[in-house]
Amino acid sequence: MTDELRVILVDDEKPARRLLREYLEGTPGVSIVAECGNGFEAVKAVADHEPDLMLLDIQMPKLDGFEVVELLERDLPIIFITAHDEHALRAFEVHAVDYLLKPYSAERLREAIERARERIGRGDEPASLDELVSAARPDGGDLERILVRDGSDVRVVPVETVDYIEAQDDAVAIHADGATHLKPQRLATLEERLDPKRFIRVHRSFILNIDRLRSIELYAKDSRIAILKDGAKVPVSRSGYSRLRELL
Amino acid sequence: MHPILASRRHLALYLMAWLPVAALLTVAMMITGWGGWVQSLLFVFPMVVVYAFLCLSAWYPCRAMPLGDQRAEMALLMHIAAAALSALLWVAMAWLLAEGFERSTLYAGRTNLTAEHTGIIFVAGLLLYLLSVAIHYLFAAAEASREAERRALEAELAARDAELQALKAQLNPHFLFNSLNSVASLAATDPAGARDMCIQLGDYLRGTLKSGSGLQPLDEELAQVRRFLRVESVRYGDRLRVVEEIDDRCLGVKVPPLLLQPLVENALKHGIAELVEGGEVRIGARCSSELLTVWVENPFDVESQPKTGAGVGLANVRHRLENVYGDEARLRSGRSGAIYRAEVVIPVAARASDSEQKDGSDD
Repeated sequence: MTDELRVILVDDEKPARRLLREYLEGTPGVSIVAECGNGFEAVKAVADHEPDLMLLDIQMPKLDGFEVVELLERDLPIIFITAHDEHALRAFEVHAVDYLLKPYSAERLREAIERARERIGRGDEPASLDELVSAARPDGGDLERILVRDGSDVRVVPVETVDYIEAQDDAVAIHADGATHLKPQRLATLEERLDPKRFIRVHRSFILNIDRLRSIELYAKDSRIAILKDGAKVPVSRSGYSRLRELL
Repeated sequence: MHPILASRRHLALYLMAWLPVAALLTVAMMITGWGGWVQSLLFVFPMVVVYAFLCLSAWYPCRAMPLGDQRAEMALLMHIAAAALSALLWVAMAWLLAEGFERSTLYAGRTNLTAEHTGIIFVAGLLLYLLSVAIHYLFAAAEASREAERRALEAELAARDAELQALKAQLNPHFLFNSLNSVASLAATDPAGARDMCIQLGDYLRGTLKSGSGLQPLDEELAQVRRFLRVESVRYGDRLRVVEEIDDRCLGVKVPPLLLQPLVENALKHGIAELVEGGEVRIGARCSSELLTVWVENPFDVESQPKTGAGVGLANVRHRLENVYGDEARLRSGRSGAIYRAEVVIPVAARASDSEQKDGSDD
C-alpha cells in the first residue's frame, strides 16, 4: 500500500475535472498522471501513462465512456462517474470497481479509491472488457461504427464502409475502404453486435458485408468463393452459403 | 361505420322497432280485404324485413349532408327523392310478391293488389323512410357529441401529459445533478462563482415553477431560456457560446410556455455536448403582423450518428403547438451542412392583441 496509485481522470466538463482534482489532491497515496477532456485523449493517455486506475465520465462528445472502455487494450480498473444513467448503473453494479453519482463527496470518492486499491492489491481479475461493454449495452441495438486503435490514435470505422471481417488469431482484421484495421476482439463477439441483415458469417473465420457482394462462384464441390465489388475474394462454407441464400 | 349495423344490439333494437310496423301493415291488408291474417302476415313479413334493411341506407345521405349545414332545403329535397325512390322500390316488390302469391296454388281468392293497396304501401314506404332519416340523424348527432366529448377528453389528457413531460424536462435531473456538481466544484476555488450559480439555478427553478399553462410573452420565455443557458455555461465553459438575433418587436407576442426551452436543451444535448470544441447556439425571433417565427440553431458533430431522444423534445413542442393553435402553427427542423435548425412559426394576431396593448403601456 505504499505504492502511489497512478490515476487518470476523464470528464468533458472543466468544473467536474476541477472538483475531481481537488478531491484527489486531498487523498493520500494518489497521483494524477493525466487529465483528459474527451475520450480520444483518454485512450491516448492510457497508452502513454499506463495508469493503475481510471476515473471516467460516461457522457462525453465523440467517444463516450463505454467506447473508451471498449478501446482499452488492457484490463484497467475503472470508476465511473455520471450524473445519472440507470441502465449503466445496473450493469456496473456487477462489473465496474465502483460508480459515483454527481454530485458526490470527497469521502465517497475516497471509498471508491480504497475499493479499487483493495482490488488491485488482491490481484483480482477485473471484469473482462468484452463482458463489461456488452453488459453496459444490453439494448444497444446494432453497431453503427467500429472503433479501432492505431497506436494511441483512435480510428472510427463506420460499418457501412466495411467490406469483410476476417478472424486472425486473437484479433479480427476489418477490411474497409481499402484499408485493414486490426482489433483485438473475437469474431463471434463482433458478429453479435453487427446488423444480422447486412453482415453474414459466410465462413468460420469470415463475416461479409452483403452490400459489397458482387457474385458467388463455385470453386470446388461444396466450396464457394464470394467475389466482392472491389475484387476481393472471401471463402464461403456450405453453411455460410445457405445463410447467404436465406438472405438474398 | 354504420351506427346500427356496427353493433348487434343496435340492429336487434332497430328490427324490433319494425314489429309494430309489420303488425299495422298486416291489419291494413286484412281490413282492406286482401286476405286472411295468415296470408297478410306472410305477405307483410318479407316486405318489412327487406324494407327495414333498405331504410338503413338512409345513413349515407345523412352522413354526406349533416344537419346544421346551410343547404337544408337541398338536403330535404334529396331525402324526399330518396324516400320516393325507396317507396317505389317497395311497391315494385309488393307487386312481385303478390304475383308470386297469385301463381302459388296455396291461396285461393284475390291476391292481386288494388290501387288502394299500392297507395298505402307507397305512403307507408315514404313515411317510414323519412322516419329512418330522422333516426339516422339522431344517431349521427349522438355520435358527433360522443366524438366531441372523446376529443375534448383526449386533448385534456394530452395537455396533462405534455405538462407532466414538460415538468420532467424542466426539472431535467441530468441538468440538475451536473449543475450541483459544478457548484461543488466552484465552492472551493471560486466561492463567489458558486454563490452566483446557486442564485441562477434558483432563478431558473423558480421560473420553471411559475410557468403555468397559459400563454406568456416571448420576453418571459426568453428570460427563462437565458437563465438555463447561464447555468449551463458554467458547465460548458467556453465551449458554449450564445448569439441572440431577436427582433425587439416580437417580445410582446404571446407564446406557449416552454416553447423555446426544449429546443435550446436539444441544441446543447445533441449539438454542443457532442462537440469537443463546442460551438455557437443562435436563438432568433422575427415577426410580421400575422406570424411569429422563432428558431434555434446549433452546430453538431457530422460524424456521429443521430442519437435517439432528440425526437422527444421536438414531439412535446409539436404537441403543445397543436393543442394551442390546431394546425395553424408549424415546427420545422432539419440539418443543413453542419448546422441543425429548429424553427417554430405561430400565428400572432388572435391571441396577442391584448398583450400588445399591455406591453405597450409597460414600455
